[in-house]
Amino acid sequence: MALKNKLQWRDSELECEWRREGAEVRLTYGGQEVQALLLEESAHFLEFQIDGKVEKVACYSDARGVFVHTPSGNFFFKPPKKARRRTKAGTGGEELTAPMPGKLLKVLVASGDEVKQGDTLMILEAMKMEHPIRAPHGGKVKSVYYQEGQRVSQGEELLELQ
Amino acid sequence: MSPFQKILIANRGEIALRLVQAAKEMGRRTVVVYSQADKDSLAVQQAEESYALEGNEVGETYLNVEQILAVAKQCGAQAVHPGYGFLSENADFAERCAAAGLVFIGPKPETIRQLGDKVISKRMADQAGVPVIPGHQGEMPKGKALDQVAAKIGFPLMIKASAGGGGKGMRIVAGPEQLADALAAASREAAAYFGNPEVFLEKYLENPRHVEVQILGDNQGRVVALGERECSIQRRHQKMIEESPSPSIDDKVRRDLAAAAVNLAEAVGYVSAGTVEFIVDEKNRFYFLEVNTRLQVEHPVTEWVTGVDLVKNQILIAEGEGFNFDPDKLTPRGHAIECRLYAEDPENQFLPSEGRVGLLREPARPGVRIDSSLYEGQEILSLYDPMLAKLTVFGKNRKEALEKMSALLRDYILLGIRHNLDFLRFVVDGAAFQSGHYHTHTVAQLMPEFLAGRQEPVPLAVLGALMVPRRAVTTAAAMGPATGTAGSLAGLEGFRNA
Repeated sequence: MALKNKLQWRDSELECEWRREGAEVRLTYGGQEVQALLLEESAHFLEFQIDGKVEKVACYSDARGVFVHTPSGNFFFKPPKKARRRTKAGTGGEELTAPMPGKLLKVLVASGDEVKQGDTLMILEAMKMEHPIRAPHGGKVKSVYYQEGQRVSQGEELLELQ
Repeated sequence: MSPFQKILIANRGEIALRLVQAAKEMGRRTVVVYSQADKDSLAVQQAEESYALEGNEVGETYLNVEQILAVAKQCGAQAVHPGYGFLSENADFAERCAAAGLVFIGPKPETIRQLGDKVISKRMADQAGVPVIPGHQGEMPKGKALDQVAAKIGFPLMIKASAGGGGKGMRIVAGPEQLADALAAASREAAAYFGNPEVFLEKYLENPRHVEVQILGDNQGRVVALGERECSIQRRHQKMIEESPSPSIDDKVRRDLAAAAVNLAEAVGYVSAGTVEFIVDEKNRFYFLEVNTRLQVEHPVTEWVTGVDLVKNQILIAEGEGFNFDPDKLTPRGHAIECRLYAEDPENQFLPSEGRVGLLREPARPGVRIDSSLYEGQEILSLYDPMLAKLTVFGKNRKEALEKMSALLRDYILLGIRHNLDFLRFVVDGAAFQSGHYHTHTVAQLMPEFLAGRQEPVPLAVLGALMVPRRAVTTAAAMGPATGTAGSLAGLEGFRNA
C-alpha cells in the first residue's frame, strides 16, 4: 500500500508518496520518481542502493524536527505545523515570533500601544548579537507575552499586533 | 620561578577543554569554573577540580571577576588562564589577579590596556613604523580644508562613527562632491544610534583581505613571529575559515608582515601570545588593524604548520621560562586550514540556533585535528557564543589540505541542531576558495548561489526523513527542561504511520 506523507521543507510542504516491499522502496516527490534498495538499518543509519551507488544516511529526530545527514549534505525537516493559524480568528491579530532563540533585552511596547510600521517593538539578544523585532505594519499592540529579561526559543510568539 | 602547582581556567567550551588538556600534559593540576548549563561539560569532567558558579548568564559566571578570584583563592591556584573572549582582554582583571597574588597567563595589564584602545594602538603602530590605514580623526574641517584632508586620504573613503561598530553609521563616499552631505548624514546617524555625533574618515579598501601574524614574546624582550593566517572568510565581521600560510601573499609580503608585527610587539615589550591583525588590499599593501592580546580561536592552524604548542608556551612563559623551541630554527611547513563549526543557520541569516546533540560522529584520521567539546545528549543553548567546534586539517601542501577539509566536512556528522557545515563545504569546494583568491566580501557574494542550491532535498534525504529508524527518535520527555520549542513528536510519528 502506498503511503502519503507531507514533509515540512523550509517554508513549504513537500508531498511524498512512497511504498516499501521487502527491501525495495519506491518514492515520488516533487515530480521525481526514485527507486532504492534498503540494504541495512541500524540505530541511526540507513544504507541504500540508489542509482547503482551504495550510500549511507544518518537520521535523528526530536521535537525540533527531523535531521538527516547524506554524503551531499545535511537536511532539516520541521515538525508538522500545529493546527494554529497565523491570524487569530475573531481578533484579526497577528502574532510576531522570535526569529532566533535568545533573551529579551528590551520590551519597548505594552498592550494598547499604537505603533507605526517599522517601529522597534522588542530587542532580542543572543551572544554578541542584538536583533530588533520591528512592526511589519502599523496597528495596535493587542498583547505582549513576555517581559524584559525572559528567554525565548526560536519561533515562540512574542506579541500580538492588531 | 618553579612550575605552577595548579592553574585555574576561566573559560568554557572547546577552549576550556584545550587548556585543561595542555596543562595536564605538562603535569600541572587544573581547576575549572562552570555555569549551571555547563555542569556536564567535558572540561568539568577532565579537570582535576571544578567549581560551580551560580547562574547561567555570562555576567554571573564567566565574567564574574569576584567569584572567579574567590574560587582561585579557595582552591589555591597560582595562575589563571583566561582563554579567549570573556576576561582574556580585560586589563582590570589582569591587575586584580596580580593583586591577589595570581599570575595572569597573558600579556602585562598595561600592554592589554594600551593595545586594546583603538586610537592608542594605531598611534603606537604608526610610531613603530607599521603602516596604518590613512584617515583623519578628531575635529572635522570644513570647505577647502576638508577637501584637502579627503584628497590626502584618497577616494573612495569611509566615514565611521567614533562610538560605533557593527556597520552602523558607516558610509562609503565615492567622490569629493558627495562628502559634505555624507558627513552630515553619518554624523546624524551616529548621534541617533550611539548618542555621539563624532565621526572619522578612513581610506576605503575594495575587496580587502584579513591577514594576521601570530606573535609570541618571552620574558627577555624577545618576540618571534610564527607565520601568518589568512582569515578573510567572514560573516558579520567574524571569522569562519582560516588558513596558514596565506595563499594570497608572496614571501616578500610575508616577511614584511612578520617584521611589522615583531617591531610593534617589541616596542611595547610584548609578553606571551598575541596576534597582530592587518588589512591587505588588492595590491598587497597592508595596514595595521588591531592587536588581540590573547590566544586566538584559530591558533591550531599556526600550531600545525610550526609545530609549536602555543598554550604550553604561554604557560612556560608565565612561569618565567623561555620558549620550548628554538626560534632560530623555526621553519613553517605544509599547509593548515581551519573551519569553525557554528550553531547558526546560513539559511536564516546566520542567526544562532538551539538544539540537542542527537548524533555525533567526529572523524579521527591522519592530518585532522578537532577542537571540540561536543558530546551526545548535550543541549546547545543560545546563552553563549555559537561556536561549537574547530575542524582543522594539515596537508603537505594546500591542495592536500583542501582535499582533507572537503572530506572532513562531508563526513562530520552532527544531527539535532542547525549548523553551518554545508555552507563551509560550499565555500571550501567553491572556485574562490580553491583558487586562493578571496576576500572579506566573498561570503556575501556566495550566499545567493548557496541558497539557490538548497531548493529541494536530495532523494536520499527524503528517504531518510520518511524512514527514520525508531531508535533515532528522541521523545519529547527525554529532552532537557531548558528546551521549550513548539512541535510535538506525536506529529512526527505520523511520518511513519500515515
